[in-house]
Amino acid sequence: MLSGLAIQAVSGRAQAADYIFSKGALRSGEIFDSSTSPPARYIIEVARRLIEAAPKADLLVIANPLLPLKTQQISEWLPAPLAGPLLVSDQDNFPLLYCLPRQFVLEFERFLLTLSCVDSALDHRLIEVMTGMKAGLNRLRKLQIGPYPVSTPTGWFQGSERQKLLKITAANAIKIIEARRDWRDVKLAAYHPYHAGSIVFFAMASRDVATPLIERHVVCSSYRDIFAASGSRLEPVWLKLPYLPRDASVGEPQYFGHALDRLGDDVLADNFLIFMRYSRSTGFSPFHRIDQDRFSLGESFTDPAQLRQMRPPLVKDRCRLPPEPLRLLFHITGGLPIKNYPLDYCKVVMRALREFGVVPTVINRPDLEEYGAISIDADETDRLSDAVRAHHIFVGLDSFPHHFVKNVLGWPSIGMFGTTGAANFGGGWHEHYRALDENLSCHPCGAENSCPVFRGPECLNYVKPEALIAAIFAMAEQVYGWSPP
Amino acid sequence: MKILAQFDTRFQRDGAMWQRLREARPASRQLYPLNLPASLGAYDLTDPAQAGPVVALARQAGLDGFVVDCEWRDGDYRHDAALLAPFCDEKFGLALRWRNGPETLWTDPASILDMEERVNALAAAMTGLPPVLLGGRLALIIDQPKQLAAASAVVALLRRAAAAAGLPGLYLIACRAEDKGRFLSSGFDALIDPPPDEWHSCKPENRASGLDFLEVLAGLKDSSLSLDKFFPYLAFTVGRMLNREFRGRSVPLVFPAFHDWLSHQNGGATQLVNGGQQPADPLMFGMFLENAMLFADRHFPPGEAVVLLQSWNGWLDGSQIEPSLLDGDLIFIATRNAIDRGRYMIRSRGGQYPARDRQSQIDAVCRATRALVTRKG
Repeated sequence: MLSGLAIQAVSGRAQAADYIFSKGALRSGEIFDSSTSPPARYIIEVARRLIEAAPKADLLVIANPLLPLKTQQISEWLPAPLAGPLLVSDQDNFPLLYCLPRQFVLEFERFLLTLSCVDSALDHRLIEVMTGMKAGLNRLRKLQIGPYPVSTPTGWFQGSERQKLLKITAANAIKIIEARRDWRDVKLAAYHPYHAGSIVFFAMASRDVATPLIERHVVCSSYRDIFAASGSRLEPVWLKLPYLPRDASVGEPQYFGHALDRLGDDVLADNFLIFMRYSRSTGFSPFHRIDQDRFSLGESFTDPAQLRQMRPPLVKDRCRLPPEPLRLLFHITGGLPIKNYPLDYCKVVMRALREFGVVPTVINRPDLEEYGAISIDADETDRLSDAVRAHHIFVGLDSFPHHFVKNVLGWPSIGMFGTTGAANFGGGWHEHYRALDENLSCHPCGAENSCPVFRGPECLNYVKPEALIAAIFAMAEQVYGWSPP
Repeated sequence: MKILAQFDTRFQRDGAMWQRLREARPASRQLYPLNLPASLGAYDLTDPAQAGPVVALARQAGLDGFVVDCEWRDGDYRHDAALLAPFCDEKFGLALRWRNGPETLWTDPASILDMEERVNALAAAMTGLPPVLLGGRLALIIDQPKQLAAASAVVALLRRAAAAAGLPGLYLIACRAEDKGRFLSSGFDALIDPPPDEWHSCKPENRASGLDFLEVLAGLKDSSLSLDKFFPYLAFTVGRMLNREFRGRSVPLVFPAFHDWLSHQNGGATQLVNGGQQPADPLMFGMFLENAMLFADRHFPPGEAVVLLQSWNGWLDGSQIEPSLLDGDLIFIATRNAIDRGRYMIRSRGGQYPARDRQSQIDAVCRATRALVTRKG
């Protein structure tokens, strides 16, 4: 739930607007849902909507996006008369409402991203130093929000440890503004340093945003090749730390602390850091991650037709080799047994393709050679790109090679989804792309160890061999005019 | 993609159904209590002022129509679709489910002449309703196809009667999707899953031992644990979607919850359970519905993709999606969200694949591959 009021100071007239996070329709009362957007990004979005709906308004009152508030509630908390910037918080300093002059929002829109939305004292100070105006701070003595949960019914993925990161970035913003007269020229840097697939999505999003709010990207230096190959339009701020281990041995807040140490004071003094790892649950939104990142970077969406998922891809390319013999490149190892394409399916696919005269190459799977596959190494981005160019179609799982090949190379690709959501990572079908799964009702379960329904080590949501082969053949015919013998 | 929900029109002026619901009490703590309506209240469908909001709310959920029962009563086929029809239009239609089960006529292949007369009456009962069109034809669900001794002949009669009545053809759906497509060869256009009580798609999680039984007899244990069947919701719904493509063109039947103890007071009830104490988990239900839509989109020709919700107002078996006293809007909103997500995903596929006019070609490749794999091992 997101809500706001647009108020005309002279007449006292108020226009109310309540929104919900969209599930795909993007109706007028819905706002795009992005897992990588911090809460403050939704303050900007609500402000944009209010300004459009009430262009003559002087003041915008915006409810804290982290709270399930409606305008009826907001109205009860507002003091009268209302003038100038004001924050309303609970008794423990948790922000409830932001009352901001329209002119301030228009002038400082991108800096609103630095609001923590979890600490009213910090946000109050931030607004004062930004505007140079005295701002009010009303505390509601009878309301105590209490500890914020890790996940909420409205899709927020937070918890008190994660919210500390938002406080740190807000405090850093105050420090910059207080220290530098030229703070308006200081750039905003998205903290989104890992993982490989996410770097691809963020880079592709940066190529697809007209006027980004953010200009820099804090990214692990081990992803230099991916960052470069993906053609990101953001300026990199290299973080010389290994990326966050996937085994949960290091928490995201803990890693953030290490990252600040490693980035150093100079980087912190020269960048408004914006936390753009997950603030919301990834599966809550139906939208593809590239569109989610476009929203995080500042794009507003009011119609599904604006989404990349609904439009032709940015990059489209194809193999220059003659269609005979049809060459396929597979990446079907997901790092964990439950994420691998099931072994029996692999054997059937390889053997059947050979029978059809197709040449199947598999990345790092020598065990499939006895079934007719050719196993190759393609660890580096360059080697992967070279391997892809030597094949007509790429078949991958929900992992970096798939996202890179589909989005950056624009190669004819088929994505197979088991435990993870095809909506967020595989949407947007076109001549060169389709995502396959069995549409089991457990999908996406997100399991990392074993199947939560059948307890086995493999995922039954992966498509069966015949469906995969049929999809490959259909694409081969559509793109290359190839048909099975 | 059409989303339909079965609608029980018996909730009317005499209030007998509502009274039955209000008075229903489970005889065991293991069984979920039945719910009561919230925002729409205990409506009387014979009052247009009360029937209108029902359709309006269903439209808000994203539904495209209701399925209403039609049965032979007092010498004619009768249904109460007329109570809802004034509030329907081309975007929200009414389809009929023919409750052929109680009619003995259909079990006797010799009575073909009588059948013809009945079929004409059925076609007449379908005229004038705001239509639910699938593939340009009127949708009609046949509840008990196994009760039709001469299914092919009845299908042919139905089609002829529809043509004679000026209907735009019939899209016949047999309620027997678990039978591996056997009824498709009788001329039905599609199949549909039977309801949860008629198709247990996974093993129950309670299997009473001899000792359990003795303890029940000794009054030491709740008899419901050995007389009723409890199924984990997730495994039950996954079981219905597994290998679904091999069961022919089968329309998914989706439900948020199911516990039919009211009609099995002496045992034999089917109850779906979740990890917690709630009869329904909005997240699990949403995933079931969304995936069912995506399946239907992938496996049905254009204009024929449909998903059926077990009920809009199945208060007596807990399968309702209407806002309720105990769950508020949770299931209603989960329905709307899942439908929004499903429609969005379908739209993002852009009709690129499978190119619908090439579905038969893809099927042929599937068959060739399967044959090849079988031959080569």
